[in-house]
Amino acid sequence: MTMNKNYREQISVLMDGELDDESLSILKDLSDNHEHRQIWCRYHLVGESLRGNLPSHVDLGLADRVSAAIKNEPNILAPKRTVTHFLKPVLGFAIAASVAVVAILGVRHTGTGPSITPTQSVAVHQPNITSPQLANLSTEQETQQVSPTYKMPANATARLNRYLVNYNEYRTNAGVQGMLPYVRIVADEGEE
Amino acid sequence: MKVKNRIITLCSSLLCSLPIIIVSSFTVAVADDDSSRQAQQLINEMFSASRELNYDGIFVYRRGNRIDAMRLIHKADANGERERMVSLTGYAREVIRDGKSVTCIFPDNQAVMVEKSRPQKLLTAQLPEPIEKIADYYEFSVTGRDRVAGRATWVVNIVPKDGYRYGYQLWVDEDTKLLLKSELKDDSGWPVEQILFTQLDVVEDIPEQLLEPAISGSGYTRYVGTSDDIPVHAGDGEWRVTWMPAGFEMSDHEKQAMVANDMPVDHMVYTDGLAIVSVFVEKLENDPDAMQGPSRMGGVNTFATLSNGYQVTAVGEVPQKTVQMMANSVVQGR
Repeated sequence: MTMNKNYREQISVLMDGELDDESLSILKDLSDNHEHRQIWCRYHLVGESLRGNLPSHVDLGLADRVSAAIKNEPNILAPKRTVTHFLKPVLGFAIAASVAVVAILGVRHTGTGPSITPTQSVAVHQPNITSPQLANLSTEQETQQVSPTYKMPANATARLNRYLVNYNEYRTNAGVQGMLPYVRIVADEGEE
Repeated sequence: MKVKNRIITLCSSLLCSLPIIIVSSFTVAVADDDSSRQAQQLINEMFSASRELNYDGIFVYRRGNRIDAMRLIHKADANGERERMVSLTGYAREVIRDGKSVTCIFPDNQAVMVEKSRPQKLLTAQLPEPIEKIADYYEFSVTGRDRVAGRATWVVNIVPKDGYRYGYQLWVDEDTKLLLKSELKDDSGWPVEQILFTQLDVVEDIPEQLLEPAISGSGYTRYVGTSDDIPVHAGDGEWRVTWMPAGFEMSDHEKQAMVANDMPVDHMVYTDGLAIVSVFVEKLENDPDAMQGPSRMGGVNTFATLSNGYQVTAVGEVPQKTVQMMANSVVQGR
């Protein structure tokens, strides 16, 4: 099997979430190429092993089966639609609100792992929008990280967070139980 | 049995390859009174089953181009209902819920948030509104059968009659009546969110340890909401939502003292029987904390606005325009 070193590096970087421009082509390749997918699996296995996360049984064929299942059922897991904007703010005043939501429910891993102190709340995020207000709130932490990390006022994020939980409580007790309300809190929204 | 399975498989492959044709022809063929009644009965049975059974399942959650896998464990016994949802991908976030509280654990933030839960008022009450009333605003139908997580399901379609609500497509287990797959759809039929169980075990009993958090949370920052509700007397009328889609009515109104803030928050809950919109109003102490504008998490849209130093925020599983118009219609006074 010929596998150049560069490709393995790209997979590794992709696993770390730091591959941006080429990630789509790599992902496409992974979905098409069984051998490459095996490498992807082994790298994850190694990573999980190092972190002590391995269960007693590891199923190496899972990715292939999922891949095959997705190919058979394209409309279920991969509906065709090119444009989807989640957390897409309307311009201007929307910034604070959207960043607040992302900050609570979608804090993104930035590689070095931001340290959280009690006063910082859960509000650490990399917004893809910059505004004077946000810039003022950034701290020395961004100098240590790959990309800038900003902080939102703790009150705004905490507020939206508890709104969502309280909304969910009513949602849980009424209406069609179509969407398992707490899924939106458990899910890491991150960046789209 | 074999024949039945083959028919189901055939149906599902047809559904996949020709969704539009199949769905539309089914809708025309069976969207009559019988189908509507069957759909409504299935929804009621689903509502009860989700409350009363013990189950442990793994599902996929998709919104936009993001997919995550999660585990849901539900236990119902003499002590009431308890459930735990944990993310199997990305950060191992957890939500654990019992009759008293909801605990959200965010390992990514090293934070734990605890809020008061609202135990089901009437376990067997099923839907909050008579289904006939809901049927004024949604069309119900059973559009066919399918197979999910290895189980035969009915497919239930709920289509709103105007653009202020979302539609639902539900795959209900024929045997247990549990929800196995679900899509929340916008007015173009596009699924805003999907969940799909890949495995679901209905069991006699759920071991206690499965409901314990995997993360101790020691050293995490804790945000604990007070459980004091300040009663709101009917007719107080301090804050009112003056616009809402037809069929919506206020179902609850209370003042709450919530996490991280001692200021009481007005929480008004509006529902048309299916969709729910919460409107929160609280006094802002510092302007920089203000939120304004729209945002969303999967199928939940929010819209925040400011009104005379008060933060007004509408949150709901409805289209953006609905929360926006409702938030903007909030007025103080009678």
